[in-house]
Amino acid sequence: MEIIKNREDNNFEVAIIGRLDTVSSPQLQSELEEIIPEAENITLDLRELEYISSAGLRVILLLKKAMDQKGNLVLKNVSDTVISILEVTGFSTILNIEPIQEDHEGTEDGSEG
Amino acid sequence: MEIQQSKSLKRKIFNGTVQISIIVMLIVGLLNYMQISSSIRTLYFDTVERNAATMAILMDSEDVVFLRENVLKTMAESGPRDPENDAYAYIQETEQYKRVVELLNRVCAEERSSFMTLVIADNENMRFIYLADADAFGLSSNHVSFPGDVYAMSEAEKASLEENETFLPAYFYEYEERGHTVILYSAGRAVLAFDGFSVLAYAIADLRAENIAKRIWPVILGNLAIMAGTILFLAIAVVIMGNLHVIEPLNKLSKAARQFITDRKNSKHNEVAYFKALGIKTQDELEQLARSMSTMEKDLNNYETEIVALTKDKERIRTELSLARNIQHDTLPTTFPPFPERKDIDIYAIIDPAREVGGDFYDLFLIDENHLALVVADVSGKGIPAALFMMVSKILINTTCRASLSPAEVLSRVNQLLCENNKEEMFVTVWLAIVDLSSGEVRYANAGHENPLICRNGEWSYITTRHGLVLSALEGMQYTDYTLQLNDGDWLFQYSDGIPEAANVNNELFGDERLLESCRKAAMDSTAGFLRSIQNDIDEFVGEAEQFDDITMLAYRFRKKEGSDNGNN
Repeated sequence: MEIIKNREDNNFEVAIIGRLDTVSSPQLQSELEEIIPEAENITLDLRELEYISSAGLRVILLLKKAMDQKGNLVLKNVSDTVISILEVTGFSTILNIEPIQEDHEGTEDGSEG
Repeated sequence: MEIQQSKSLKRKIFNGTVQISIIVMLIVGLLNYMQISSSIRTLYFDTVERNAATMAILMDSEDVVFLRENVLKTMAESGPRDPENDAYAYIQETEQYKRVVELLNRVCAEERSSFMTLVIADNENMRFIYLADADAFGLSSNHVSFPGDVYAMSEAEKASLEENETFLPAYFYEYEERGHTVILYSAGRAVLAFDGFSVLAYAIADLRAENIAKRIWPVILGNLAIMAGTILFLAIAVVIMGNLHVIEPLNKLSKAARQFITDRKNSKHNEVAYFKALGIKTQDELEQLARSMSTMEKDLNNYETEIVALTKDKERIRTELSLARNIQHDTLPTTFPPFPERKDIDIYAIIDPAREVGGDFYDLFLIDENHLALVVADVSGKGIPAALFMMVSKILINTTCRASLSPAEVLSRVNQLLCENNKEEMFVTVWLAIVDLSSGEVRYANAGHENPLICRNGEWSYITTRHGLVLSALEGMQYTDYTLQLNDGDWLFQYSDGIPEAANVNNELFGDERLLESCRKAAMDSTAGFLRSIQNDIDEFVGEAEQFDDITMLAYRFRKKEGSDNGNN
């Protein structure tokens, strides 16, 4: 897993690349703990997130709880795979999720099925 | 063993000393011999030359002239002396001859020379001609020569005389005499005429010497014997000192080390400091060694204590884990059928944890005569923490169900209870269904768990309703009840995410589609057989790959109660 952080004032954008599982979650947690004290808004860019396990969900839950008290948390560019995991686990009910912007072709058609 | 070793060390020191000493002795002895023999030879040369010189000076030149003239005259007349017919016999009667022999004899006796002769050199004929001869000790009387005798001149003597006619340099030669090797040193000096230039004759001195080696060796051997004695003494001293200062402390160390090992092997280890107790204070490498051994002993003891503690801990943890596994397993209803007297309840469940203890669980219990609760749940994480959280969750759900027939309400309450003390931020996915056994109506709520499958009229499909958030994630979450209707012979199948996420060696996942296919082709004679068929499919798919997650499944077949046909239809 790879983490890329960008900062604009107190707005952070964190891109998570690869698999977020038991092995890689502690790394994400410690990276997030560094920026949470200064952050007003955090956006997680999940375009290249392949998989998220319960350990990964736990880190996002901790982040959400922290940000509820001081700002916003948005998950953007969330792929169908990850969305289905978030839906099954019910995390979609508490998180602000922006699905991935498909490149023209698969925009509206496939999603209904 | 100890004695042999120390002996060998002592012997090595002793042998080494002796061997080196013998070599040194031989070299010293040889040098000694060469030096002594060379100086003795010089002494002999010196003596024999001085004897010749003395003789030449003492000679009365008139007597020599007389002898010389008469011998030369006779030589010219009748050649060298013939003992049978001695033409020179008259010379021996002369006073001059007698005086010369007398002188020769006296000098011989005085100088302890063996021979003294007076000769003249006949360079042309390469020979010496005797004028007179004396044999002081008569040792070689058969060699006594008389005037007119001749003997051959060597090339070396001729060359020497041509270079300087006043003397014949000393030389030595060996000859056999009565079975002994005798060395004869010889030198000659010219007897000069009154004019001080012309050579009249040569006084030749011969010095008999025993073989020098014969005389030197006893001396050298004596010296060597003294040396050998000294060396032996030194070697013994070295061994004794070495024994005292090196071997004894070494033996002590070695003995202590052996004791240390033996005690350790027999677990008779006590608090004795084996090496420190030796008190080796030699202030050298040995003390250093003893100190190192002492440190090593301390380290070993500490290490052993640690290892013992660790092993104990490990053993204890293993025992406790095994106990925990039993306890966890015992909390699950594993006897099937669970309600033997209730022929209408056809249910089966399988759990296969990835580790000793797992986070998955299922539950099935009768809330009352008419209501059966079904639970399938999955705690985040694995191992002991997950197992503890699982126990709490299971008991809370079971207990709360007694107070409410609404799964949503049960989940909301349990969520609240779990959130109150959840610093570790663990959570649990729960599917809870409550079946009305008389009507077949199922109320269920889903807190973040997998979608169950339903089989209606022999057709399998997923039930996809909106899921609530996993339990214990956020306080105050509200869950929603959904209902569905089961008819006689309809099935419900719920499982944990270990099934769709079971991976094979190529990292492919089993997935929802395969699971659906598996359900469709499975024989549906019994709930137990159905689950085993699904399990076989998963095992076949996974193959050699390791099982990462717990696998849990529960199958329920609704059987309409006899005589309660008044339900839904």
